[in-house]
Amino acid sequence: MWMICKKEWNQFFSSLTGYIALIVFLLLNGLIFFVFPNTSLLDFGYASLEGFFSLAPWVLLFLIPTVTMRSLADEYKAGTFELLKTLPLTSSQIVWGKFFGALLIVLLALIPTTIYAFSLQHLSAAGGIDVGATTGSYIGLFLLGAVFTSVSLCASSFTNNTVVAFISGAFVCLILYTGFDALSQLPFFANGWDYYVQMLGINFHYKNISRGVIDVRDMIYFFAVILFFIAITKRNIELR
Amino acid sequence: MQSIVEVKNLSKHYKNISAVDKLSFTVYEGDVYGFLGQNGAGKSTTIRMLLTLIQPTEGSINLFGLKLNAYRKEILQSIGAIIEKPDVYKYLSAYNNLKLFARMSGAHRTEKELLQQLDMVGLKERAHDKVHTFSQGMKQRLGIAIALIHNPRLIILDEPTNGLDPQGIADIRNLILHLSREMKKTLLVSSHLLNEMEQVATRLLIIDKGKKLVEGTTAELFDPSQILIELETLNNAEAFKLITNSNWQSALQPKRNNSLVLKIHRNIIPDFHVWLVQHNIKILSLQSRHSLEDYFLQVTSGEQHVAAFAN
Repeated sequence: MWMICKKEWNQFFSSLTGYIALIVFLLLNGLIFFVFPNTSLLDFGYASLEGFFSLAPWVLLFLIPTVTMRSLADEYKAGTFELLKTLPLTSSQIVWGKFFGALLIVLLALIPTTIYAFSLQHLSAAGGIDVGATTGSYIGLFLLGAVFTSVSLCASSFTNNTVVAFISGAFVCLILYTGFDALSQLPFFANGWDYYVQMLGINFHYKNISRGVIDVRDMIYFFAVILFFIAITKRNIELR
Repeated sequence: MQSIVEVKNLSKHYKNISAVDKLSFTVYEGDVYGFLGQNGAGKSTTIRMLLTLIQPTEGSINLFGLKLNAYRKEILQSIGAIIEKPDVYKYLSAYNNLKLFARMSGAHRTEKELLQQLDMVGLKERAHDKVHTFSQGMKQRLGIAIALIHNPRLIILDEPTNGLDPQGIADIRNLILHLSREMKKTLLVSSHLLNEMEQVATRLLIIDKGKKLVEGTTAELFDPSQILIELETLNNAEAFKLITNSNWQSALQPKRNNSLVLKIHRNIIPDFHVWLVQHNIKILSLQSRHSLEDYFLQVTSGEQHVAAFAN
């Protein structure tokens, strides 16, 4: 499994696309939170990364499908998937290897953003940032990234077209992230069901963790969604 | 002799099409098992089922005495395979591809061993070049190196000479002989190059439309020392008359495309040449045909397939 993980990592950085995706992610975050006046953390007045944590999922929503779109679609297209299947590897090893490979890249993209937290901590005149909430938010962001990775990997397992994999991956991530929130606003769910509909979406659980409270129910939600999409991916490659 | 591959009543149906139909065969340890058939006969489908790339509709496959479905991982550890056109990671070098596939196969090879393997398939000089710069023939060789890197007991090669030039084909032939004779490997090789198979196979299976036609050792099926000669002369009728009145009469075979056909033992072909000259027969062409080709055409309903194989 770790060989597949390593291969994914190497594959991502074997082309310019990989570097560009990461640079754009970091540059975009940097511009939004330190340069653009309306969203600048420095002009916010409080030592808080709240703005970053509410906008970062939107950026990840595009970054992660870019990372995973080639994972399986490219293997199908290039014909290497057939060779992979003749090796003594189980479908679980292939899928988890690819999942962790992509997740490490997501982690690599998130690590430099911790500079924002350290910067604010040092720049703060009094009190500093809320360390508990910030740590919780980073855990939430990482788990959200893991869910997006499993969804996008699953999208890549349906097609040999990387563009289709990207679009469908990003679309399902979007639905999971905000779709249920939007759905809960419908009058149909006004009689108390809106809360339960919101619970189906990622945003509900992400917000919970971002408060710095690690609830087992939120963790179960994240892991269940990941396992669900990994299981579909596994089934897809077995049927291929 | 221990059976390495044991296939019983294997079938694969696609809607109304039967790609493989109740196929049974056995490959024994040490065999170079030639798997022959025209394009679309079901060779690749069978090989794909042996490698679990597709599921059979019915039938059983046992490899190394184990059921394929139950012991897939253990079985695949002992198999090296290339399927038609092997595709590897183009952004990696030949060396890194080999290293990657060795590790994914559960084998850890030293740099020296990896380079030795590349040397065996003639790619040592290009070991660190990216695969996207390789010709199809070089990719084919790399595919073979990958198939062999984890020292498998059974090697399955599906059309291993695809895309190779004559020298490459000869190299693959020698490699197969080396693997069989020196390294004592069991090989299952599918190919449409009948003369190549004739030189390497110890046992043969000929299939047509997914069904087994014949299976056996080359000695059981035909005598490779008997060569078919196609003779075209300035006056074929006169030559035919002379031959039918001579000792060569017994070698005459049915005519083909206006040519006279004789089946003669390899050792007495020079005598036949001398006899033709002595009898002042004006030869336009004299070509030998391989016994396997002839045998193949015989069992797969004949002449109409000549063109298909010539292509």
